[in-house]
Amino acid sequence: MSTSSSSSKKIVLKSADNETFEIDEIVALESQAIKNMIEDECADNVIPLGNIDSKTLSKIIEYCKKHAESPKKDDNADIDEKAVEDLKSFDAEFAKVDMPLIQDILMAANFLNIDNLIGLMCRTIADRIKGKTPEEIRKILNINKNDLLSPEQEAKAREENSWAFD
Amino acid sequence: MDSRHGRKRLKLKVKCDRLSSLPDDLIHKILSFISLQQAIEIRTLSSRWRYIWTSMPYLDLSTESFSKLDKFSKFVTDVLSRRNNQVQLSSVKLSFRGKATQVFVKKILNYAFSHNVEQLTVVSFACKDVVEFPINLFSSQSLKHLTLTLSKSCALASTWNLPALTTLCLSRIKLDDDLFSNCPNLKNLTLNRCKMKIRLSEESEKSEESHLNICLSKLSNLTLEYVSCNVVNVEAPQLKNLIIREGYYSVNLSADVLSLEKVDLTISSPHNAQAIVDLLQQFRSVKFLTLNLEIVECLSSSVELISHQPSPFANLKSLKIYPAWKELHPKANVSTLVENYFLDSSPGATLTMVLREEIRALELMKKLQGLLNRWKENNDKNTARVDQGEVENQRAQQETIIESESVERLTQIKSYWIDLTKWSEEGDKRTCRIISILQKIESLLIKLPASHKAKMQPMYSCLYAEADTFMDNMMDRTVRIHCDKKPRRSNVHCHELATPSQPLP
Repeated sequence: MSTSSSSSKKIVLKSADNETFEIDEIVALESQAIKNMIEDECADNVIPLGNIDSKTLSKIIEYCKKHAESPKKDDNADIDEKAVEDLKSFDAEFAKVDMPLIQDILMAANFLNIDNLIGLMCRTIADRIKGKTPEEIRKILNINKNDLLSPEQEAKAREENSWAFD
Repeated sequence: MDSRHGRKRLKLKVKCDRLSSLPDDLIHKILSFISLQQAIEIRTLSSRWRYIWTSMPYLDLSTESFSKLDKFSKFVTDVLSRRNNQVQLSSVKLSFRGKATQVFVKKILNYAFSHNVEQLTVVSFACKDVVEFPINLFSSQSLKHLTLTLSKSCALASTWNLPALTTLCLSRIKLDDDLFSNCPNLKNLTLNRCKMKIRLSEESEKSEESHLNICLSKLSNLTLEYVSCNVVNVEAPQLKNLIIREGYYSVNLSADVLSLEKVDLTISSPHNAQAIVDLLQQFRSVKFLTLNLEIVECLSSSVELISHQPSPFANLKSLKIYPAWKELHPKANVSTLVENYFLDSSPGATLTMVLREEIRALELMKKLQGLLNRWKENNDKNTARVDQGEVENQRAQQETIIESESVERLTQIKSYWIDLTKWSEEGDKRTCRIISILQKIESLLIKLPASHKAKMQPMYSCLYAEADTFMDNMMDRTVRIHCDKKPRRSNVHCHELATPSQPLP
């Protein structure tokens, strides 16, 4: 795998709101879905991503760039501990965004099949709901009101729950 | 804010909220990061979340959050009976205290086995009896990752047949000679504080020399930590990474281990230089070698062992040397002959050597930085209080002239002076502490060779400047409160220390 960025192939991604992003192929390969498209040679010059808006897409590209630059565990036996720490703190900073954007990134990462990013977003959501009451979680996750249990259902679910907590 | 429109449009399309519209496996993944109890509690959240836990492929069960073991046992029974029986398990973690013969241990492990578990982690605290895990577990066709951590070394079923197993971590297990022979796909093996099963030879009743044989054709990563035996034989043609911590046994790598790239060797109290040389000679192909300083020092005290030998490392790209002990004690200096032994055959290799003084100095700098940060934060709070006190004190003095009987005011004034004395005593204490740490750091830095010192100097200068300003401010403030006069800049202690702009002597 070549890591030289100057001469490497470029890939253009197009967001739902028609913004285009030109990135190095190596960055795009962080996405298993794009990787498959390129390998199967069914990727045109421009890859349209009709379900990802530009705000989310630019966040995802930021993530992929950073992770593509960092040495991979399997490639190189001599991984600098600093590089690992650096990537960790990058991830922590990256996740400091509001819940709607986290959910957008998670859905997009799932679509693009970026395993690390899916994990990071799931962990972030989990950290924010950890130890919170269902009522608080509903607010944090902005659970749709139409989807709530009826009072009877909720009482029943709570009763069912009691086995786990007495 | 243009993305707002996009979001709104999407919201109209899907009936439920965005998170609930995620596929099950993502919600399961989120739930896998919280406790099972909370994952179950969450089912009152909405109809989407009501039954989602029952199909989770992860089970993380721990006695930790249960006051009594029988409560945990009941919880386990309930969880297993309510879980969707059709869904296979990808990962099961069980950590428990008390005896391993408890019903729930067997129940969980059997359930894991019958649901084709791929990753299994069992951690046991304070188990006194012999662990008897269900035998069928060790013939699982699905198990890929197995981690067993016991608190006291125990023996396990002696025949394993785990064809899918790729990763195995054993901690405090008594090992059989040929434990791994039926795990042909093992790639990663970690043995921590494991012993060999003692075999008494018939005539003498004395224990034989114990051999650990690791013959695995696909093994790529091997970690041996505090393993106690006499000899370790490794026959692993694909071995790439080897980590040995505190190995006081002889290691025999079979001649076909040619793919070894990375070795990390720690022997914190080496006494047998010949054994180390014998070990190192086997790492010919290594590219990245990490050793502890004590090994290098041990070799330096027996240079005759290596001085006549050519350097065996022709592929070396990097050599890293870290101390295992932080205590400073007089030891043999690292001989250039030893350096040559490692680096002569690989002129392009980089050498990173960290000395004890550096580690100590870094720790002290971190400590001082921590103190300064904490004190600064405190000061910001206290300043407000003391300034308030000062104003009240002045007012009280005026008022006492008028109302000399105001006992309350007198107490206030008194407590203000007590505060003030405390403040200046505190300042004195802090200044002494800062200066003593700075002096310690300097005494360490002076001992370092020039190249190492140059690396530390900028960081030290920064810290020094910060400490100086802090002490100066502290003095300023105390004196301002005392007599409202500012003296010249700190001419008391600091001149004794090197000024940050100048390099150390």
